[in-house]
Amino acid sequence: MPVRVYHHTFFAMNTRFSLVFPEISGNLGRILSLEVRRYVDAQEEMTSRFRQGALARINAQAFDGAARVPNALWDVLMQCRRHWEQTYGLFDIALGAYRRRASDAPARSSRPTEHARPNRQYGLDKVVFDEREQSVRFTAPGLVLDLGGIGKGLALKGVKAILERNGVDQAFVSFGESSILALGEHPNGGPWHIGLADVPNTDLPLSNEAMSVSGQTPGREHIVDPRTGAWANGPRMLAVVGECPVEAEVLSTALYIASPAERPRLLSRYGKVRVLDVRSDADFIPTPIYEGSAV
Amino acid sequence: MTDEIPDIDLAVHGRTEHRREVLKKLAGGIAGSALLGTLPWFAPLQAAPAGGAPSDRVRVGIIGPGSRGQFLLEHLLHTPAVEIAALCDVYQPHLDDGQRAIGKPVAQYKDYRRLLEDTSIDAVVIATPLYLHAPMCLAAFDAGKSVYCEKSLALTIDDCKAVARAAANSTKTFQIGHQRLFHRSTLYALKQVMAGDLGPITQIRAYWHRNTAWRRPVPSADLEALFNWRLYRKYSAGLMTELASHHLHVANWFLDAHPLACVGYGSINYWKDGRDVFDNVNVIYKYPKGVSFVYDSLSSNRFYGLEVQLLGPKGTLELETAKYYSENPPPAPGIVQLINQIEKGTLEAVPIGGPSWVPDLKKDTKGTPLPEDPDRDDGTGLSLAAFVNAVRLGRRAPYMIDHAYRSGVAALMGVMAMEEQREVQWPGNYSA
Repeated sequence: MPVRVYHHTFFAMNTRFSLVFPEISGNLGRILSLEVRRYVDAQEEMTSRFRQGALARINAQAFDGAARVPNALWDVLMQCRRHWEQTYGLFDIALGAYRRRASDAPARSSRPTEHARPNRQYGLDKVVFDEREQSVRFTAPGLVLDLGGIGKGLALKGVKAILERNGVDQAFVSFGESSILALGEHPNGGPWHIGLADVPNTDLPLSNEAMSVSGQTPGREHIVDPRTGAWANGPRMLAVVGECPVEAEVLSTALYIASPAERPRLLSRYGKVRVLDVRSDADFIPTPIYEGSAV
Repeated sequence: MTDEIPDIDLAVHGRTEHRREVLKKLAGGIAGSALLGTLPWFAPLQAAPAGGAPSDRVRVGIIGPGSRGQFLLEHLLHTPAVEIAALCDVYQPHLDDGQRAIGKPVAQYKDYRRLLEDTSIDAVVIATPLYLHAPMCLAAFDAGKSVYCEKSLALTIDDCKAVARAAANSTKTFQIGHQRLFHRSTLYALKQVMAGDLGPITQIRAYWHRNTAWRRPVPSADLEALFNWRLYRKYSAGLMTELASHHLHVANWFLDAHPLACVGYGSINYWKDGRDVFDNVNVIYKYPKGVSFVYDSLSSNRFYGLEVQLLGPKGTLELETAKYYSENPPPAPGIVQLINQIEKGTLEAVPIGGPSWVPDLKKDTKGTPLPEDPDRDDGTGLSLAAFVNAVRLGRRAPYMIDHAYRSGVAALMGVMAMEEQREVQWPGNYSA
């Protein structure tokens, strides 16, 4: 049975944000899109180091002295600290300075030695959190907090809440194609079937789940290995599917950095997720390879 | 009713029979076109093109068959119904060039007033230095001729008013050489603006950058003014009237308004060779609803070339390169596939996921091309065909006086703002 679809795509967080709503009127679609767009923009204002919001202010002030953190951003930073601990430091929001430096470097770094810690200048261990004062202080000059690795997941979690509050039980949301939320089921029945672009025959069924994909595009690398400060050199792509968009986001980054041998230990600290590890077009480890903490 | 604009293949060397066929097809297509049917200056083209009957013939005199005049002549030689009856120029080699292009003897004049005395001539095409536009147009109207005058309208605002008034009082056809009114990709751009693809236009930016002295070699010193009239204020207003008037015309047309005021700075900062018109101009025009038109033109750098950019909250149109850029990014191919799948009621895996999409930098953005005519005709051929049809049918060319007056005056306002270093207000309509 043909179904009417409302779709809207807009720029956010230096990528595109697409909303697909089956079976709703154009008017309701526009109203919902506007609300989502406003919310995502506010999130970006708060969490982007490139805009003049709370995070940019903290980055500018926190080495000179403790910087007070507004409530909403404090909550985000606490989540990031918890994930940093749970991932054995692999998910680290305090590597912005490495990223900036690596971007300036002429050549891509080679694969780092696991657990090597040469010249570790930056990292969340260089940030002092004062929970009583709700403030942060940087102990390393030049340190930069960067929420790029979690911002889209946080936004998707908030968007999910907005849609549910408005009675939407069926939607597909893509944030730059690397962070996806599939709400409810496909209008033609059953889960949404999502593949990876450029990887033939991939099929990840999603139902009320989020997917996060990590990978380095040559010339546009962005994932730093906190143990070395160099670009992480993981598989071609790594996708994580789970109920929570934030956890999917954190885990896709951490698992991309971790060696295959390290992954089970890391996953044992999280709930049920599915992971797809893509080595090449013809060589990917089919889902599921990990089913949660039992692994 | 269709959204499409019929092909307008009127390249300069296109043959008459081919043009007749193109114009015939266009005549039938205008009424059915959602856009062209609303543009008054296309009305004369709704009539079938002339056949070969003597009664259909339009006898045209060319005043100024120099470089631009020669280009217009080439078009007219292949335009149905046109008979080139006379040439006029003070420089004999230009007359010889024109004569050669026509291929048979026609009357030649050194004084345009003598040409205008020829009662068998229906219309004149004026492609002379700017300071001559007003006296020639006024004399032509007095002589009962129809007039096609190259832009810009005149050298002074008073002259612009006088010519516009004379054109309004004449029963004959008057048309200005703003060929963009007939340019295919510009018409598509207008269609996009009318459809709301930009949202409201919030700014127009335009520039015309060249790295050239703009000076032509002169066979003898006494011909300096004749060849290099563009460089002397007595004969020309320089970059504003010769180049900016085209983009000002686009701004007036697309905003459907004249500028309210302007400020600007200009100077001679590179070509200090005796010229007395600015070699760089920088003017900001104020339009209604808080919209600005920002213009600059250089003679000492050509890196950025020329462009006119229409900007709105939903997108950008660049008319010279004929591209549209949406402010909203295109959805991923996988999203399009997903939507199609849902709409058709099918279900299969859609390839969407991947490393985060990053928008192209401006320099990498390809934009959506606007349709162009074959051979990238700039609209001149159709513009002349419309003029000839209007003359043949004894009609006026609707809205042409307004197009000519607004752009001609706006260019001169910019010159005044720079020369007099003050804000210059719109001087009122030509009837005032």
